[in-house]
Amino acid sequence: MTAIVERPATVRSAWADLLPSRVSTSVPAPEVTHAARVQRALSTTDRLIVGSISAASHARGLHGAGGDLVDLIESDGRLVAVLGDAAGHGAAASLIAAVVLSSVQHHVAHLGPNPGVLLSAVDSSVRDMLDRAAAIATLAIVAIDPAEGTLRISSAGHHPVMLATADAVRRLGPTCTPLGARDVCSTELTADFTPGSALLITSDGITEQPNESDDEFGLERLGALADEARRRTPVAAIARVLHEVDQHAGAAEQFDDRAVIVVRAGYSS
Amino acid sequence: MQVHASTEPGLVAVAISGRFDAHGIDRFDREVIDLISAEHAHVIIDLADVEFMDSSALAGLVRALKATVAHHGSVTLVAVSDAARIILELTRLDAVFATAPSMADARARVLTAA
Repeated sequence: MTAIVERPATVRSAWADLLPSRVSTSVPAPEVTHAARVQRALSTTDRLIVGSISAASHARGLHGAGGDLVDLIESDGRLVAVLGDAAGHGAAASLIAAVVLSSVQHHVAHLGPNPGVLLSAVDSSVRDMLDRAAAIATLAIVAIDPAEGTLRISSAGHHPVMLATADAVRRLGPTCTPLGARDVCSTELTADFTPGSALLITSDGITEQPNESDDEFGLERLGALADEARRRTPVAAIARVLHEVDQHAGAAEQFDDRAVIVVRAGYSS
Repeated sequence: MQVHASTEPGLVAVAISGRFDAHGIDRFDREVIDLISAEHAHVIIDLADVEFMDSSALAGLVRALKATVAHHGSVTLVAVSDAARIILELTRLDAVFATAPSMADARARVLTAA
């Protein structure tokens, strides 16, 4: 099955900059702006169609470059969605995120779209680095097979991924502790991903965004947006998530990096 | 965030209150992790008054755990607040840390095991 990358990497960030998301009012230094640009370029693409599955991603660091890592990769007829979060934000977290993402990309190329195998391989590759850096990172890897209409997920400490179907919204994962905490497992969860289903993966900068009353955005609101995503294109669904988080935040500033992936079955992006 | 840390024979006793997040993590590292040594290899942390905890805080707790393990010690989380419990459960880190209902109980467990 052929993957269709809709836009070249050189213009990839243009649409993302148009999405409504309030960021810190401080102006990042030119080096940080450049680092953010480089970080975006590390992702393979931010829009991908594999068979009948379409996906889009968005990531924006609180200070330009950030600790969130996102990617969409085609491998062996599957769409692999990757979203992780190196603890903290800023330059240090972005370095950790870059190493973890690079490891994921390397192992997908060599091991194929097997989330449990990939998570174990990435853990082996980055464990010593995370130890030396005294850091941890969450990582959710989802492989969707459009031919079978199924998904498999392994998640190292990443808060639940939302799977919306016609019947219900389910929370998937995590299956293990974060990378860097202790050895992660290779456990996978499987689920149907048939036409009309949507998957919503976010970083904690979405779920933990407080409003002026210190009420977090939370998983309940995220679940409702996952259900809405079944009827939107992935790009529109991401814009909706960011808009809703901004609306929730009100006058409260963005407090953490934000990343979102939406995958939908059965429609174009 | 408020951090109160003191050493006792064999352990470091800590109480954290308020928002335990990236803004206070340097203080946690400085005032807690730097106290961990062969003489103070166990850490007990009262989280009863933690109102919010983020991934930076989780990373700090893991750093403390690794520092204690290097000295054959441990980290025990005490009276974990709902806010802290939720994030620990969401990341499955609740399986990594020992817990105790009170500081007295944590002291007794740690010193008995030592």
